[in-house]
Amino acid sequence: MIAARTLDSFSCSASRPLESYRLLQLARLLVHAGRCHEAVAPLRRAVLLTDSYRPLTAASRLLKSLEDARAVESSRVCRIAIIGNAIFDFEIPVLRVIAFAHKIDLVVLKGAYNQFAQETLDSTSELYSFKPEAVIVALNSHYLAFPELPPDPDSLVSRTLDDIAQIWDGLANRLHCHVFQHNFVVPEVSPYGSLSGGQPGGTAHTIRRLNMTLLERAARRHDVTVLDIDQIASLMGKQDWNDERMWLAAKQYPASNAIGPLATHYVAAIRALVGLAAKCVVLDLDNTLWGGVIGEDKLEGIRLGGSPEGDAFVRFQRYLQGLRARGILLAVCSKNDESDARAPFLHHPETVLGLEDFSAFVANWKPKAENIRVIAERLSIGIDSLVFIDDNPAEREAVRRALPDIHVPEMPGDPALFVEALHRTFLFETLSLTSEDTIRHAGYKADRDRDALKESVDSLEEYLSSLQMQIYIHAFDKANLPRIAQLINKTNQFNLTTWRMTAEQLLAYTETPGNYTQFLRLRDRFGESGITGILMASPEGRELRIDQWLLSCRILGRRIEEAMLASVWNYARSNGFAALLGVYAPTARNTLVAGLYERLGFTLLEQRYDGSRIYRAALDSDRSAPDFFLTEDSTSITHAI
Amino acid sequence: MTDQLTTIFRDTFDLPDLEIDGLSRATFPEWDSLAQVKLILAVEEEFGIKFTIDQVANMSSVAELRAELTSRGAV
Repeated sequence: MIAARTLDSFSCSASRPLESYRLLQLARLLVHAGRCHEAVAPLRRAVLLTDSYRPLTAASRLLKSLEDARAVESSRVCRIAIIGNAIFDFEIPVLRVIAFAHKIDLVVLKGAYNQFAQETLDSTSELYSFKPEAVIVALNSHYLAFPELPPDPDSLVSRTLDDIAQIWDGLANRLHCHVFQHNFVVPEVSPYGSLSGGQPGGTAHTIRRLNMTLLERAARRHDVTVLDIDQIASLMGKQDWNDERMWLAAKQYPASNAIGPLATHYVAAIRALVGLAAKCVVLDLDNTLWGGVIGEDKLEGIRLGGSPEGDAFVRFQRYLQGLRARGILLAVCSKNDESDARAPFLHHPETVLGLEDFSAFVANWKPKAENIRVIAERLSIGIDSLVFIDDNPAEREAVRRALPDIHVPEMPGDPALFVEALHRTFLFETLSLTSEDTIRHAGYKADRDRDALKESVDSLEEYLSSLQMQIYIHAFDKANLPRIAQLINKTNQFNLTTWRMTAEQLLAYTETPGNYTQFLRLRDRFGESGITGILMASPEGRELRIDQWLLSCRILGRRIEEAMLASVWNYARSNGFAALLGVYAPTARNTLVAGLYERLGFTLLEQRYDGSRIYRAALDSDRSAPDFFLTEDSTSITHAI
Repeated sequence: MTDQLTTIFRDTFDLPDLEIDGLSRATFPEWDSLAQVKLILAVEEEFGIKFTIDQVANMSSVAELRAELTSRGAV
């Protein structure tokens, strides 16, 4: 074990491949010494630092040992299938090990070569008994076999799209799964040379049209996302993307070294699907947002704009501002005196970011891990939703060790490469933009105003009525399903059953006759909180059972739950149900609501062996929400999607 | 060369004690077409060479592989 200790202490090698190799060796030594639990963290890091085929397959073999030893804990299990016109034997181990690095336990079913049509049409196929949450339709350009300059390229495009849409329909009708559809790589070679792209009917021209139309078709459905494989191939370089020998000899596509980048994008899409996208970037300041040290170099000495190096920091700030505009929070965590740390954002002529762009700003001399915990708490988001950016490898390593759940990308030494380094983590991928994403900042600002008000009034009751809360309760509708799915998949504390569902499963639940759904929007004198509460219930004989009940932690402590209960209560009563049933399924993170049903007057009916508890409340009289709410409730009127 | 080749074969077939002398596709059923491609990829990367499409499809014994590596000066 001396070797392992030496490898462990020798941290932060010069290059990513070397560092990856070191960590892989460390993980291997630990596995051979039977210390599988300790091998998990270095193996995860080794995988995140490489996208080459060989180290990734070596890592996948080690993962198998770790799984055999039951040493791996994942935050989420996800079942996916890959079908298409290639073999997937090489891809799957790589895909699983990259998912493992992101704490997802991926169970994968591979389709047979070129059997995707039969697999989707035959309802007895393994695909359907497997019940995947998502299906990747991995068709490549060999599927198209477009002739050059056909008489009617338009009809070629629309026929191809109809065939693909038929696969989508087959999947949608039999499975409530999400579909990830490959687009097509515009080929490098053509007998027509550059005319292939310029001439209508040229293969490159037609495939570009097809790709655009594919996006338009997919945009009309909520259950299909197009994966931009052409872009991924371009990123790598099309000369290296395909290895024609592997295609001819084994129907393997793309080339072995393209499998890592492809699988990385698959995992980013899967993370987005299950609601694991990162929500906040926590930033160091000196040599991260500007060159130099503000405490020593002062405002006039730091490098921000005005020189090639300074412009690199401006470019990085611009990228961060772009992230913020799409709903990713920014926070500062810096070892500085607070007044020094704030000065560039207030007074530097070239700064892109201003103080108002940060949802939390912590500058002091405490260990960063400690400050990051404070930031997470203040913003009410989990450590696993944070991305920490620091130019200093020692700080990164310290934070990684103290907070194993946080994302800490390796940053290059050169600020000109910061944007790409952050972008290529693909941690912020989402399947769609919800309106909540863009109003989130306003929300956090309003939270701070509310806290100030809370300190100025005496009783909780007085505080709550002074908020002038207006509640809007509605049944689920298609437009809001993406946001509802997001909330269901990331809420941990006020969550009675922690039942994770995809948008497709939600739609199926909503469309089942007799089922009840409500989502809640909240507005108060400080602003709009968006969709922050979910409740779903289904009939069980003469009783209505609450299957799903959760509240965003941003609005806890405002007695919103009483308004939600009143709504389902009165709905159930007027629809002739005798009682409401409630379920509490304990997890490591939802003890907050362990006593909720008792507090609301339910009685314990049954305690199951798995620790879950069933409660019941008879519906003998109407129930009303606390009178400081102004409530608008449409769930009793409309109840169909 | 023997050491590197042995490691590649042992990793590919997940058989830590595999001895590769005299091994061929004809006598070793695990060496199927999928394993063939895995072996070729690993050997190419280890020795920094590229095989032709004919070799990718038809190379069928350790002896052949060794002869090819020797003739390319990859030892």
